[in-house]
Formats: sequence, C-alpha cells, structure tokens
Amino acid sequence: MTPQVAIEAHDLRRTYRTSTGTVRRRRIEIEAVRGISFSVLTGQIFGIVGPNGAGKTTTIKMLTTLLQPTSGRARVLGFDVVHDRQEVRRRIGYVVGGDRGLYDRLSGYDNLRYFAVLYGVPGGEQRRRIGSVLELVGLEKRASERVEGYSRGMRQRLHVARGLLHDPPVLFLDEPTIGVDPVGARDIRQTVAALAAAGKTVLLTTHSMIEAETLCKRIAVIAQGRVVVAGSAAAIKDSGTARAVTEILAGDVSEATLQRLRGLPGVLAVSTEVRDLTLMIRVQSTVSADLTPAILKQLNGARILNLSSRQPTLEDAYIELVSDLGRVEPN
Amino acid sequence: MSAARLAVTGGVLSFRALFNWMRPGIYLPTMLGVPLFQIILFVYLGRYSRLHDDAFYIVGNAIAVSGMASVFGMTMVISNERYFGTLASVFASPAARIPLFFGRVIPVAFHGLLVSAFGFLTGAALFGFRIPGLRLLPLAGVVGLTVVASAGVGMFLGSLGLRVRDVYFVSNVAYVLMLLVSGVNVSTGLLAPWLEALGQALPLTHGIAAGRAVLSGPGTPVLRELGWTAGLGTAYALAAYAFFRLWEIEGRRRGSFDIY
Amino acid sequence: MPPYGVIRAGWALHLKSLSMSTFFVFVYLVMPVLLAAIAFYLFRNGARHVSLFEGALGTGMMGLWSTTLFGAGEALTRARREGTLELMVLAPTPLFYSVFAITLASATLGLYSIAATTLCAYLLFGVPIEIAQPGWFAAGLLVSVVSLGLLGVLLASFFFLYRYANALTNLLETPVWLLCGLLIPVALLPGWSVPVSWILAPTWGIETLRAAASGSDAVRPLLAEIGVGIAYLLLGLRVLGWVERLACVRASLPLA
Ligand SMILES: Nc1ncnc2c1ncn2[C@@H]1O[C@H](COP(=O)(O)OP(=O)(O)OP(=O)(O)O)[C@@H](O)[C@H]1O
Ligand SMILES: [Mg+2]
Repeated sequence: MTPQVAIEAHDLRRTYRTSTGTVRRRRIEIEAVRGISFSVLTGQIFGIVGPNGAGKTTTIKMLTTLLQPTSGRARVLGFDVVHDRQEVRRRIGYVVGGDRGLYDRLSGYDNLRYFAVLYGVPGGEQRRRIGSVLELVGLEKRASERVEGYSRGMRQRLHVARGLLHDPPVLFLDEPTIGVDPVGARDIRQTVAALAAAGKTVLLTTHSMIEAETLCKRIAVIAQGRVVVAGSAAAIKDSGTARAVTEILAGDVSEATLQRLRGLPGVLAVSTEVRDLTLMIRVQSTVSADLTPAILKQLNGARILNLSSRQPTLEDAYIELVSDLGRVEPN
Repeated sequence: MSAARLAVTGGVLSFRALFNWMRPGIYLPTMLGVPLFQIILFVYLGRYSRLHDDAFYIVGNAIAVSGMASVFGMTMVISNERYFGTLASVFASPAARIPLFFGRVIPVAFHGLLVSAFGFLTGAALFGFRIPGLRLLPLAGVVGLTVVASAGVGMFLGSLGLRVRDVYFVSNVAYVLMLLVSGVNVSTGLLAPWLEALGQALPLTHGIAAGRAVLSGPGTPVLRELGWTAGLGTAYALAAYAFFRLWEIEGRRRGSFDIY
Repeated sequence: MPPYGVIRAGWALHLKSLSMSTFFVFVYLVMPVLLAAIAFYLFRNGARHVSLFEGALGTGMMGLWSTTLFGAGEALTRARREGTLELMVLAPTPLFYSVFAITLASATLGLYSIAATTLCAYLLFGVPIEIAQPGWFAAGLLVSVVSLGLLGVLLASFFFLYRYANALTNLLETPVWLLCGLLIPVALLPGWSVPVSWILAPTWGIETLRAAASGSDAVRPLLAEIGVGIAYLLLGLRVLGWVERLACVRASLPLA
C-alpha cells in the first residue's frame, strides 16, 4: 500500500502589496513566501517552524483557501486550493492562534453552534459533535459562559474545538498552543497526537521546538519565505554543524577566557547568557570527542558551578540554521 | 434544508453575537428610549410650528425608528465581524454565501417591527393617536416591507463597514439625514430639489409615504410607493451582496481579512 | 486655588482629540446642521411665524448639550478602557479638575455647533445674522460653555457608577433639548417641565443668546446661568470627592 499524500505544496509564492505613508504614498512589496514546496502524508503531523515573519501564517492561509497564491500550486486531498475551494473547505479545519476571532458576546457553546451551522453539520448530529469537541478540549464545564469572560487559554481551546467541529480529515493549526498553560498545552498536544493516530492529517506551526519535536513526524524550518531544511527532527539536528554542546555555569569569567575558548580546535561557537551573578557559557563544537578537559583547562581560575555535555537539541540546530540567515524583523 | 438552517439559525445566532445593544441595560434606553423621545420631540415641534398635524409626525417617526433599528442593526450584524476578527473564520467555511448573508435580515426585520410597534404605541399612549382597526393589518404590512427594505440600506453600509473604518459615522449621518429627506418630519415637496431627489432614492421615504397613504385610504399611491420601497430595498441589498463578495475575492487576493 | 495649568493643558489635549473623532464630528457638526435644516423647513412653512435665527441658535445649543453629554460619557468609557481612570484618581490633582478639563473641552465643541447652524441658516436659507448686543452674546456663549462643562462633571460622576454610560447618554439627549426650551417653548410642555428647566444651564444659556441677539435684557438670564453654574461647581466638587473615596474603598474603578 503506498501512502497517500494529503497536502502538497509546489513552489508556492506570495507577495503582499501595501503602501506606506499618508501624504506621499509609497507602494511596497513584501515577498512573504518565496517558493515553498513540501508534502504531507495522510495521518502525518507536519510542523512548520521559523522566526516571526517567516511566512508560516501566509503559507497556512494559502493552503486554507483564504489567500490567493501569487504563483505555485497546492492541493489538499487532491483538490486544488484555488480552483476547488469549496471542496477543500469542507475537508479542512482551520485553527488560528490568538484571542480574537470569536464572538465574545456568545457563549462558547453558541460559538460552536454557529460554526456547526456554517459547516453544515446536520441538525441531529450537532449536539453530539459539540459535546464531544468540548470534552476533547476540556471546556465542557464552562461552555455555557460568554466567551468575553474566557481566559486566553480557554479561548485557544475553543478555537481548537471549532476547528474539529465538522470532523475534518485535514487540520491546519496556526500556533495552537499559544497562550495556553503548560498542562493545557500538553493536553492540546495529546489531542493532536490522538487525532493523527486516528488517521487525520495535521499541519501545524509553532514556536516551541519541544512541541515540534514531540509531535511532528516531519518538520520544515522556514525563514524569509523559504524552506531552509525539512525532514525529521533527527535529520534537522544532523543538518546543523554542531555535534556536541557543553554548557558551563561559572563565575568570574573574563572576556579573555571566552576568547581562548573560541580559539579551541573544533569549537564552532561560544555563546553566553548572564544568570544572576554567574554566566552560562554554551560551547558548540564540531567534534563528537569530549572537549571537557580542554575547556576546563582554559577556565582555570574561574569559579565553576556546573558543567555538562549533551547532544545538540532541535532548538540548537534551529537557532544555528535561522541565525545564519539573519532575523526577519517583524514589520 | 441546510441552507434554511444557515439562514434562520445562523441569522439568529449572528444577531445575538453582533448586535451591539443586546443587553437590557443598553437595549432599553437605546432602542425604546430614543424612539420615544424622538416622537415626542417632533410632535411638539410640529405643534409649535403648526405645519402638519400630530398624526403626520407619529406615523413618520414610528416608521422612521424602525428604519433606524434596521439600518443600525444590519450595519452591526455585518460589519462587526471585522471588529471581532471572525471574518476569516467565516470565509474559511464552506457555507453558502447567499443564505449566510441574507439570513441576517430575518432577526433584524423582526426587531425593526417591534421597535415600530413601540413607536405607534407611544403615539397612541401620549398623543391619543388611533389607527382604524381595518387599517391595522395593511399598515403592519407596509411597516414590515419598509423594515426589510431599510435593512437593505443597512446591509449596504454593513458591507462597506467590512472595509471602511468608521462606518458608524456613515450610519449616524444616514439616519439623521433620513429624518430630513425621507418625509419623516417635513413633507418631501417642501424640500430643496436636491434634497428631495436624495429622499426619493431611499426606501424609507416611500415606505413612509405608503404608510400615510394606507391611513388616509388605500389606493394606487400605496401600491406605487410599496413598489418603490421594495425595488429600492432590493437594489441596495444586491449592491451590498456584490460588495460582500467583492471583499471576499479581494481579501483573498490582497490578504486583508484580518486588517481592521 | 484651582490648578489652572492642569485644566488648560487637559482642555487643549482633549479638544484636539475629540474634535478629530469622527463620532464627535457627527455630534457637533453634522447632527446640529441636519436638525437645524429640519427646524428651518418647519418654521418657514408652518403657520406660526418663528424666527429662523432663533431656530439656528436653538439647534446650535442642542449641539452644545449633545457634545457635553457625549463628551462626559465618552471620556469615562475611554478612560476606563485605556486604564487611565485609575491614573487620574491617583494623580495629586483632585479628580474634579482632570474631569473638568475633559468636559470643558467637549462643551467647547458646542461652539462649533452654534457657528455651524447659524452659518447654515445664513448660507442655505438666507437668514441674516443680526446680533444687537455682541458683547452680551459673547458673554452668553462663554458662560454657557463653562457651566455646561461643570454640568458635564456631574454627569461624568454619575457615569462613574453606571457601566452603560453610553446607552444612558443616548437616552438623556433629547429630553434635555425639550426641557430647556431650545426649539420649542417649555410652556408648551406639561406643567412640571417649567421648574425642571430652571435648574438646567442650557435654559438660561439660550435665553441669554436670544435676548442678546434681539436686544432685550440679557443680564438676568446670564446671572441665572452663572448661579446655576456655581451650584454645579459646588455639587461637583463634593460628588467627585465622594467618588474618589469610593474608588479607594472598592479598590477598583473599572467594576463600577
Ligand atoms: N496582509 C498583509 N499585508 C502585508 N504584509 C503582510 C500581510 N500579512 C503578512 N504580511 C507580511 O508577510 C510576512 C510574513 O508574515 P506571516 O504572518 O506569514 O509570518 P509568520 O511566519 O506567521 O510570523 P509569526 O511567527 O510572527 O506569526 C511578514 O513580513 C508580514 O509582515
Ligand atoms: Mg503567524
């Protein structure tokens, strides 16, 4: 049995045209997405990560028919997102992150009821569907309250519930855990994993590398509108040049010492982070061999509180990948 | 079947969600208090100036307040989607756009009828205004049609409000302008020609004319005015729908759904 | 000694921001002009001879009341929403003066209304602008703006306690137009209206303006308006002091 492709994007591009200035208007063009291609297999969870303004939301909007691509093609379950919009819409759920996008004056239940009507959920099934999605996101006890009194995380859960209402085979989640507390975020992640296990295809964006790593079978790192690297979390870690990270928590470290560390053979980068009265020094190296003795030798004289060596995480690789490209300032 | 549910259930839910004055603390002063005092003001102004009789002002204003409820209600029920940031979610749904859009008239129209009834009751209670029993039903019909047609104007403003900031400025101006040009307080023949022409382009003007004609005895003017009311209302509604679809297409092209 | 600096700075700030808000443009400009046009048509065609110039002054004064009313409501709604209400309470300046700066600014917008309705009368209806006693007329305008600003403080303190201030402002607009005899003599209204009209500053304001325009005795209504204004001032100082204390007791203003 060959696996089915649920979502495929082929060289998607999107340019925004806006103008600035009130008196002398100047037209500007923002190339938000500059040729993105990927495909997601049925039942997979695919993650898109990238810095602010990288083009994640723009990509999702194109895939959910809300935005016309400037060029390129995309299909969801075989339906073209430009030409077969209705077919696509029927089959997808779309969850936006943030606390807007809900009818504040209606109860959570009525918000869902409205969208059940918009999605044509048959009258007889409505109650059951709403009940089950509310339970899934853990909002069943507060569903009769007006949304204006909801906390940020509750709103986010309601967004997720709304996206699941019509039981779509494909889900697009734009930062689904934003603003949700750690336990709630874990619940949402578990829900997403369970949905995928039940055969649903999920495409999500996130700023949490842990979320991407634990949840996604495949990840695309995008920056400045392009896919920098795509693959499994392990493959992305490998694509970074670092093979080992040594972290030292120390006091009384001079700038000269740091320079000496940078000069060690095999050291890629040394970054620091001030923690109270001490310094967290992070040494990334290309050699898998243990650099600890060499480092200790250089730190001679400093007050060392802790030292540990570990494999690079997805976050390490991500930071290395996107910082090469320079951060895109959100405008 | 599902289109009907979309229109009716969806219409009612969106009214509850988007009509600003849902709470009794806001609703009663705004939707009952304002019409009440408006009728009192103009009846007294009429008595003082000795231009028309009480009935002229009561009929004019009782129908006008229903027009107000319709125009503002409809504007809110459409353009507030932008305020709540829900437009993208609505446009992302496969819901058929025609019942989605026009279904919203249903609660607005019922509400307008209610406000108008309150206006006539005010006239009856405070100024001894009486409607002959036989005329009651035709009058209700006229008001019903006027309310729906005015909702067309509200739809038009609401659709504009999806793109234009400060649409309530436009609604406010439109409403007070109607008090001047729609024959609510001044018979249209007395107006400057350009104001009169403006009034003729509004369904409320013809609805009020039809209402007065019904009370003074049915005949051809009633049907003619009703025809104009319905025609103009339809024209505004269609233009509104065209804008609504245009915004959807344009929003997809320019990515402007969430900009507010 | 009232802090004039605070009032002047606050007044200038709010005058600028309010006069640019589209809602206020509607309240101080569009609505008075349209209502004036309605009144002109009625007065010009009606059987009773009513001076259109008086109609212009009356509808202008209606604008003055509306701006005061909506200014007081809007000031509080906005301050509550933006969270500056607490800051105003916390500031060393007594709350009275910071609120007065806002309501005075909104009352000042009413001058635009009076200018607009008279101009509209002149330009569109050919009504000559004839003012017999310009000095008293100017004094009448000044006193009206100040005493309405003071009345605005009372309204604002009332809105402190009532969350749906905006709804209430809609409700209060027309009755005061009627009760102050701005367009229609109070004598035409039910008898109890007359004593009520005496405690409302616009009643005396419009009388002063009409008297100054026609050349009759403007001093008496002007003194009456000053008197009413002083009463608002004394009352306002007391009430706002009380509101301030209440704010501390409740520990939170937004819940009002
Ligand atoms: N409607 C729009 N008009 C003009 N420019 C836009 C519009 N929407 C997005 N952009 C621009 O396109 C670029 C990509 O934005 P996008 O929202 O896709 O980023 P993102 O990856 O989702 O960022 P974040 O992590 O902050 O959510 C940004 O530079 C943004 O400013
Ligand atoms: Mg985004």
